[in-house]
Amino acid sequence: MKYITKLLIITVLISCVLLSGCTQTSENSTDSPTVGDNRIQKLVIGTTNKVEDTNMNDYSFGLFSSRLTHRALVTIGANGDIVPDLATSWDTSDLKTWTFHMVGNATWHDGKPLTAQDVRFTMDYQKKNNPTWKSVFAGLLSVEAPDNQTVIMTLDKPGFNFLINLATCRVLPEHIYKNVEDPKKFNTPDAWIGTGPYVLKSFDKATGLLHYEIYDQYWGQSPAIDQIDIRYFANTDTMMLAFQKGEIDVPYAYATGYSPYYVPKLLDNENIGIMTQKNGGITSVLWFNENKTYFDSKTFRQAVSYAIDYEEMKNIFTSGYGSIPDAGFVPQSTLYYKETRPLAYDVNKSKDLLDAAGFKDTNGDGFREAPDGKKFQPVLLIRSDKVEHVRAAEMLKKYMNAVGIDVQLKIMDRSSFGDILDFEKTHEMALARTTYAGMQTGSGYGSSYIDQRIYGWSMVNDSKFQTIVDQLMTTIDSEKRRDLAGQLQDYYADEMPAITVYNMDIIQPYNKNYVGWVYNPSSGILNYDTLFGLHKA
Amino acid sequence: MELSLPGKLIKRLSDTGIKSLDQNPLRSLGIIILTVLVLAAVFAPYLAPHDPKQTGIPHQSPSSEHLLGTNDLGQDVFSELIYGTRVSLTIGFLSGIISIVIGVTVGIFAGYFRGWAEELLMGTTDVFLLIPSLPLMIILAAYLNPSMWNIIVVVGLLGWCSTARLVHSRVLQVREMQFIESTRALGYSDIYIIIRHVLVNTKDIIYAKFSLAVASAMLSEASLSFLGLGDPLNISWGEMIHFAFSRGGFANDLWWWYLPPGLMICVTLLAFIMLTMEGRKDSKILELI
Repeated sequence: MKYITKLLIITVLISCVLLSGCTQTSENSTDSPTVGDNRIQKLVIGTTNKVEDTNMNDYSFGLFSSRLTHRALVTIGANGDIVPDLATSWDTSDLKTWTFHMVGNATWHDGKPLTAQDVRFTMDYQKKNNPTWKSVFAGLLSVEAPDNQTVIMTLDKPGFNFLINLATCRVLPEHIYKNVEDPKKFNTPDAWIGTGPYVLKSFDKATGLLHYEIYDQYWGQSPAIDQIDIRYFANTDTMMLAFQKGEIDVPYAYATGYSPYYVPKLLDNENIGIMTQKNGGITSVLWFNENKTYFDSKTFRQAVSYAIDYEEMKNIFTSGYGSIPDAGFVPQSTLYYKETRPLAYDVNKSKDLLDAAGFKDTNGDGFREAPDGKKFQPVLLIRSDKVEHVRAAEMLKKYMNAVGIDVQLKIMDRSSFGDILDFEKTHEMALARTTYAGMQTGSGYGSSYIDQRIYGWSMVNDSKFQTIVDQLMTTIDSEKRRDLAGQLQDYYADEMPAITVYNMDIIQPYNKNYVGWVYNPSSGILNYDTLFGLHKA
Repeated sequence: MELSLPGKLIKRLSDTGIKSLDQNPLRSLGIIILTVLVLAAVFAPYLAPHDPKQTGIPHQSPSSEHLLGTNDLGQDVFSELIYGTRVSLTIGFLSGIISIVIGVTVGIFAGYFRGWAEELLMGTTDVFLLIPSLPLMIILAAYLNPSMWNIIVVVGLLGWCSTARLVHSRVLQVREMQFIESTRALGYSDIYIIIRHVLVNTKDIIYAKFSLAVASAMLSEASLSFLGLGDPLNISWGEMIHFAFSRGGFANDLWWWYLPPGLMICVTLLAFIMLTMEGRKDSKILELI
């Protein structure tokens, strides 16, 4: 009996100790999200953008670096204006020579001071090592650094959108990169050094976890969050389940939102808020390579445009969070947007146009042959990681089959897809989105995606198009710009180098227990306004 | 005495083991399930209430109109499930055939001829066995374009090794049997002996292994499709789960979208495994496979 009593007492004591430990842990965990009053100790961001390697050429790593660790001379603000970043001010008299005055107290994460020489070095270095760089900055004649805080850039011709292009250019440290021959292979912690408010402390490749901490010597205002974790999810559904459980504070995807299918469940969760924004990019665009035989036919492209049931696409893919686009290609939220012919579904018109272009079913197999009598099986490229595009491509195949076009779908990984569209230009048709920043680069209005001289997914080198684009680049007068923008949209509506299949508003959920979330048209919810203003509700 | 035609038929049925089905309920059940599935695959256009490509209102719950609701494109899940049987079984059978043909060929030639042929063939088999097959399949499927035929080839080409090892062991036994030696002494060619005697005496293992190979191929295909490496134009059960997993099915608890294809995969695999079940507990085939 004594033994049992002793055993009971000991058991109770041990239980008390364990329970008190649990209570202590619980108290700690309650306090853990904030330090001081409203500061957030750690923000956990979920993403499906996978960082393969921590070199600057890795798409996703570059993406997060430009949001957290690296800064540019200028940046795009929450209302779409160009605002100061490393440059406090700038001036130009002719849009050709640009003088930037930089902050004086900025340092790199290793403590070395940032100077104008770093900017000059970055432009030269990227020109040498980054193939896509040349298409955007081909007109940059020289970069000079007369003193440590002044940079002078000279263009070969006036560049109205030069600052937008510059906003995408992260400044790199000369003292680190001057010895790096191949930036694609440079992935040591030195490669992570920037001038941004956060320092990348660790990267776990197995789990895809990036851990950032605040840079205590940061030259500007201190951000509101001490630590940031970026957690990779292979699948949006699993990320959303983790978000609903509170394991992440915000799901993040560059230049896009989340499917409306997630909205009902998210609305049921009292800890989750949802913001919607007009999309400055386009969610799904059908691109034609005009440099390829058959796809250079305007009539063929128009015929395809009439084969698509835009109402059905809108209903299935946007669930009321989108609109039926115009043939003029650019989104309605664009400055100087001009209403052009609405895209319409008319199978008979599509068939008539195909007949007129010479695409006829001569062998009676139900599919049309090319005008020269050859078998016509156009190939539509899609990115395998964009599941919504895979589904949209299935719909496009159905529509094109219905008018007798035997389209073949070719699904490729992101890297191969990018190589083909950006460099090889061997595609016939492709389904891809555009981003807000992409729509602004070059002369704006999505022209860089169309123009053979820049990204040129449509490979257009028509003199009429290029004249409008070149005039847009050099024109300051707002009325003239409005007129030119209208001409460009009319050109798109008539020539159809690309068709907006559907465009969806940005649906961005977030943790409602924190306030101060700001959506930026270029960088989304992960931007400096959020990082500096977010706090506990 | 020459058997009459019905007698011949009964003997052939008996040879295939069908006569013993009444003594082996599990195998009978396996056959019944697979027969139903094959019939569903063949007569899919008559059984499916809707065209599986026909789009409509997405994410509808099960109703009399759509027995298993609709998916993200508003397609009827039940019809997709029936048509998915075609794709899943086709991939399973064709991959199984490829792996069995390669495995049996390698195993028989290595076991029968022995010497350098055995060392070369079984050495190659060992090398293939060392390679983890699913990761390699993932890499190959990602490298090649997602298509049903690529998946069949990839799964078939990487699933033959265990069959080769098994057949090789069996052939080593068979080739030493007296009747084989007698046949050889009578001057029959090696190819004749392999086809008429060795192959016949390894058929039990081949049947059982084929059944498991098909099941394994279906599982591999489902895994690849689930990871997004399948052919989205030929919707299999694995592909259905993939889209349910990527397009809001799991996050919104749309069980009617992801659960039925998962169950179909389980039931089919079970049926194939049941086919290999022996009534006798001391079965040598069971020990071998």
